[in-house]
Amino acid sequence: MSKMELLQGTLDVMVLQTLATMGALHGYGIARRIEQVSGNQVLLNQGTIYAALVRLQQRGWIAAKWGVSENNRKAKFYSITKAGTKQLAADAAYWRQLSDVMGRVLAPAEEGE
Amino acid sequence: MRRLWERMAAVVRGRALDRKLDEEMAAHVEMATADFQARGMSEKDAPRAALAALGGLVVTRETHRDARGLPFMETLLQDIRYGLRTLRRDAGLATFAVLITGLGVGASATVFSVVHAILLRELPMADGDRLVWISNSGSDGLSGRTTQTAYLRDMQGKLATIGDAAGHFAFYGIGDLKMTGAGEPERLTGVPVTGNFFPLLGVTLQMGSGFTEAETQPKGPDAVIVSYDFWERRMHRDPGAVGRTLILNETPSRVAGVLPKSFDFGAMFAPGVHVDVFPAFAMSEQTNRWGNTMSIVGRLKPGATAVEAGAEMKVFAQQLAKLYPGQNEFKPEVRLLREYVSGSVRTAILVLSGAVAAGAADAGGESAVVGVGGWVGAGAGGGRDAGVGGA
Repeated sequence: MSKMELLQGTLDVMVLQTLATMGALHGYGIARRIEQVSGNQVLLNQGTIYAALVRLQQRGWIAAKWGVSENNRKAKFYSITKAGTKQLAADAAYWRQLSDVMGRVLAPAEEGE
Repeated sequence: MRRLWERMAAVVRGRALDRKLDEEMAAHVEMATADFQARGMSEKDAPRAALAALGGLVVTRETHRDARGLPFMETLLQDIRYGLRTLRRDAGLATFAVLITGLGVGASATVFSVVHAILLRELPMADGDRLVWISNSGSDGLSGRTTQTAYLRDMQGKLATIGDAAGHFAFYGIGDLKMTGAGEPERLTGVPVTGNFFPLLGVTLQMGSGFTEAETQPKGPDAVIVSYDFWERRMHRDPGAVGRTLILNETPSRVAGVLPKSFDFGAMFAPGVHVDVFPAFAMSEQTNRWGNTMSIVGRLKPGATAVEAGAEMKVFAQQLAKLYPGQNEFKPEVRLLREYVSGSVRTAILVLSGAVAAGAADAGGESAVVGVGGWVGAGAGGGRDAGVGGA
């Protein structure tokens, strides 16, 4: 099975969700985590993570701080903010509803009624 | 709002942010390399795989820039730079465009200031519509428009249509008064006026009560009324200016008043002339012997018209001529001052302003063509740059 391209807007939610469950993480850690959770099904161009991170930071949904990684390397650590948590709740509800609707619309006819 | 600010700041601090990102990506690649090695990749292949997973450093940097900055602002900056390069390349054309635009703007501004002063602005005086210009058509030239002082003195208070008349000495010279004694010496322009000149015009002095009786008499003490501009420029808006002494042509002269800002002698009587001070002018046997020197302004009595005043003045002048057979001729003409100020030049000024407006539009059009050319070129340049970035 070929890997999935990410839909517009989904990466931001994935990043927020990752930070919400894992706490502070560096960019590479976030990328790896998303790949793992998706069962390596998404085609993640890891570099796009950094564009998403700066976007989220500008919106005030995540904060960044320089720190030291597990193998003693200087790295930038990101964590979710209060506003980010709120945004994540809204986005998660939206995506759940959307996937629910898509699931029902695309369901085979015999399964309906 | 905050986001916009951050994004604009990001455009300006682009290089520093790039360096930060490079550092971050270096950490990323290092960690990814270590991971790939842990999963059994060779020391040689692991860094390559790490970079591939990242999607390449250059592309990452570009997407990061787009996200953090204002892409349109960055391309705008590029366009402006490209436009400037184009202008420098065609320096001759650029100079021409700048000059022609400058000339257009300059000419329009000049003509508008004249149009404003002469056609649009109301006379800045109380009841300006009742002021008349009493000129003398006795002979040719400027002295033909002016009148001997004796006629002025005699017409004051003796006419049914004109309440009072005043005058200014028409043969003042630009920069004829030398001011010394207080700070930088300066050549001033002074227009001598009769004692009742400003009261007749309906100009209320901003400060001071004007010339004293003695100051308007022959051989009386010297006094001047100063313009607002002069008071501001040379007297530093001194609230105690009235009563101070100016040394003009080595003679002390008392400051008898300060004119209001709204009064502009040049705009009414001598377009383009900047007057600093108005010395008191005495009507005497001596000044009468100087010949035709007075420009006369009168104020119509309520209900009287300029035409009626002209008719009465004609009869009056004939009576005076019999009385003083040796005097210069006085053939009075009476016109509303406002018509005198704008009338003779009205058509000429309208034509001139039309011509200048057309010229300015032309200049604007031409430089616009140059500008659009540069802009289109800049757009193409931006496209090329983008092509390189995307490749």
